[in-house]
Amino acid sequence: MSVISRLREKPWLAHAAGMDPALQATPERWPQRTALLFMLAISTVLFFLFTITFLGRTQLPDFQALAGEPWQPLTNPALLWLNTLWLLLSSAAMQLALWQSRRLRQKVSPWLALATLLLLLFLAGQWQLWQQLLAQGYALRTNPANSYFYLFTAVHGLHLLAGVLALAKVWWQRRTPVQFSRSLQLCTTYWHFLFVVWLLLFALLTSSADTYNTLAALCGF
Amino acid sequence: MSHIAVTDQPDESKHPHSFITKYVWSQDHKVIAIQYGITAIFVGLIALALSALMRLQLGFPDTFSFIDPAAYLQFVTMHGMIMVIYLLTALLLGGFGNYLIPLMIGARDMVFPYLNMLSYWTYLLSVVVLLASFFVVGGPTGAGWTLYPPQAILPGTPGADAGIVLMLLSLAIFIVAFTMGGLNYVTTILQARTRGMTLMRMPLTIWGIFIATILGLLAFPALLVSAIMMLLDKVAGTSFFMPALLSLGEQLDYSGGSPILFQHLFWFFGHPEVYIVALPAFGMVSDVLATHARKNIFGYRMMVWAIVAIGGLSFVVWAHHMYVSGMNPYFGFFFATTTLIIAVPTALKVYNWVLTLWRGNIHLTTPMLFAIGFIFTFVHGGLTGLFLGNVVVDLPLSDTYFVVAHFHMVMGVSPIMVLFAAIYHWFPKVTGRFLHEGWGKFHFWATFLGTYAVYLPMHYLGFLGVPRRYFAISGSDFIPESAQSLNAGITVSAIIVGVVQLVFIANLIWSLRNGKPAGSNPWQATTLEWQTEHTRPGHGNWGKTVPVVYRWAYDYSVPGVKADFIPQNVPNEQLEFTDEQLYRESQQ
Repeated sequence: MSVISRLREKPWLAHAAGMDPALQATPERWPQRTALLFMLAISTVLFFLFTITFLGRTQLPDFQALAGEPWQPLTNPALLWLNTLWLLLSSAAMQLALWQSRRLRQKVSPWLALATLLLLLFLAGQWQLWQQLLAQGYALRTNPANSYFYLFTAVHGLHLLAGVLALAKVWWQRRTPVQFSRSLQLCTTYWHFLFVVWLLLFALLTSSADTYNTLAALCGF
Repeated sequence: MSHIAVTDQPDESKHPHSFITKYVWSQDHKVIAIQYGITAIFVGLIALALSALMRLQLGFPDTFSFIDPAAYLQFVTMHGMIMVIYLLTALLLGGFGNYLIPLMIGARDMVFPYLNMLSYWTYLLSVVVLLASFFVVGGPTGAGWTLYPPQAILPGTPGADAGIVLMLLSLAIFIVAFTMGGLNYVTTILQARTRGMTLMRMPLTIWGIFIATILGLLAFPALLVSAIMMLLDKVAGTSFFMPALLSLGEQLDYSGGSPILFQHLFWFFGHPEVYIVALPAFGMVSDVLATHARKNIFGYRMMVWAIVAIGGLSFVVWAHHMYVSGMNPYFGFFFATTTLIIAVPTALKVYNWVLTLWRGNIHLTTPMLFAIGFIFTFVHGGLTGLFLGNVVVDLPLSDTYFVVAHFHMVMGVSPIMVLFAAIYHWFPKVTGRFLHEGWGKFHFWATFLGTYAVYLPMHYLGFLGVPRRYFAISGSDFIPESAQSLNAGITVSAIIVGVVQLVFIANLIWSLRNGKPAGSNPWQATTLEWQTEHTRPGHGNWGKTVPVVYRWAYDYSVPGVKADFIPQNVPNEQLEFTDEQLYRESQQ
């Protein structure tokens, strides 16, 4: 039943005995899934708001984009591509783990371990990039573009770490294969979500000043 | 899936037995609700005392040597922040949301009880961090509750060192607490409703809490974002919001940031926050009015749609707080339009409340008095909102006492009226005893008339141009001497209203033991929370079986039925009809 038709119900009408449609069907319940969808919505809003303020900030005169010109540090972000690969593989490992668990096979845990390892590799790579930037003099406070770069990657990294914690809890509390597989499905969705967020952040943070100007103009800044 | 057990069947082994698990580290939504409620009322009393101190300075300047300009600004800031976030949001959603959601939708508990417990303790931590700022060097922040940079974090503003840092930390912790609680509320409403409880059979209280929680979940991130970025500006020296500026004759390290950006973020949270407070109040007042007027709520579907519409619109009106900020004037045109549009569903709700009362069998109990009082104060505050929503009217009135009067009527007094109505209404379910009616009525009249004595004159002060947030206004040519007498009168009224609240607190404590026993359904209400097996519902709420819902929440005075109310869990076969109705049926 669609939301509209649910909201058009006339609840004051009486139903004859046994004819109450509300009592006919019991919908399936999966509260964890509902909660995850809301969490993803909240995270989306969070990253969206950071992005909007970022685009607004790019239009102020002191902003110096991190990419676009040959001398800027993220113009050829080889390390970021490598990191992206780790995160992609991590997402893929999660998906494989989920498929394995759906077929009720026992080979789930190695895939989960691999996914976690790849994710930690991604975070280590990000850390290395931070160190490189710092060594080149791109400190947190020297330019708003740097501030946003550290901020975005930190918030995204914290999201990933929270995912690892959630996965650890799911693994620890696994009871039946069916329940385990359902929980894994939610974790996998979260993994894919953060991968997509990373792709968007990657594109955003390595854009040139011209791209920012175009995007900001589209947003009306 | 281990959590669902509590919503499906009672499990005796899961009931907590020790004092600690029952009352301190409790996962029972009712205990958590009371913990939230007591904490919120406690900080609310602190904020009330702060407002009394502010009023003392304004009413009798040069009298109290311990109130200097810095302390005054700190009182203003902490009063505002505590009242809006730590009292109203926490009490309406953490308190009433927690208590009423599972009981009203027929669930045994929230779907994630552990998360619910964590939510309360995180909230308590945020309160402790907030109150800690009173005891650090420099005291709490005095930047105003809107915390606008650059002044909020620069020397010259009280509490610009430790105070503002603790404030921002406390807000971030509060948002984490609210998000944990909020996820629980929406998930419980969507997933744990009992059989037969369709969305449109939910009481309006639940609708209000539901939509307000969604608003909170989507709006608080804006505050979190601005708190994180300002914290970095303060602590790490970034320039997200801080422009290049001179302070005390020195060029600071900041450059190029945009304070307006902060304002947009802040109000993108700040305006939905008004409805995070208002929507649960709208819902609860609807249920109180219907119950005590023995009439179904007028236009139930319209009421639900209006709540949803207000929730949606509340995200596109924020910049009406920023007409004087120097933003693009075309924005003003857009936001004035949306602001006036949001008045339509709001007015619809007011008409429906009044029409619910029309020809109702009105019982003027204490909760009903507060509910009717709310209609007055809300219409009053809403109408001045229509003034201020227009750019040309707002420009001269912004930053005067007219605005103070407006927002106190609409989001201070009005939600508080509903909170009182709700406490008087649901106290018998929470404790098994009535609050004292005589004291309650005294509390109502003193509060209702008292708040009018406080805020009506403020509108006039605003027209005179008396600026808000000022420590003292003496020596201004355009403000007549009589304004000072008015200010003294307001202060006297405010202190009387404040003292009367102590009567209410005394009533709460006294009635816990000595109140008249209420029985399980003292107001003869239809909603599920009044149909529990025990009053003071036990852990798991419902005894052996959860109730099944056969009808909506407003079957009051149904024609042809003997009783003047039909609880939601009574099937048609069990109804007793009047002789007249039976005769009529036999003739057909």
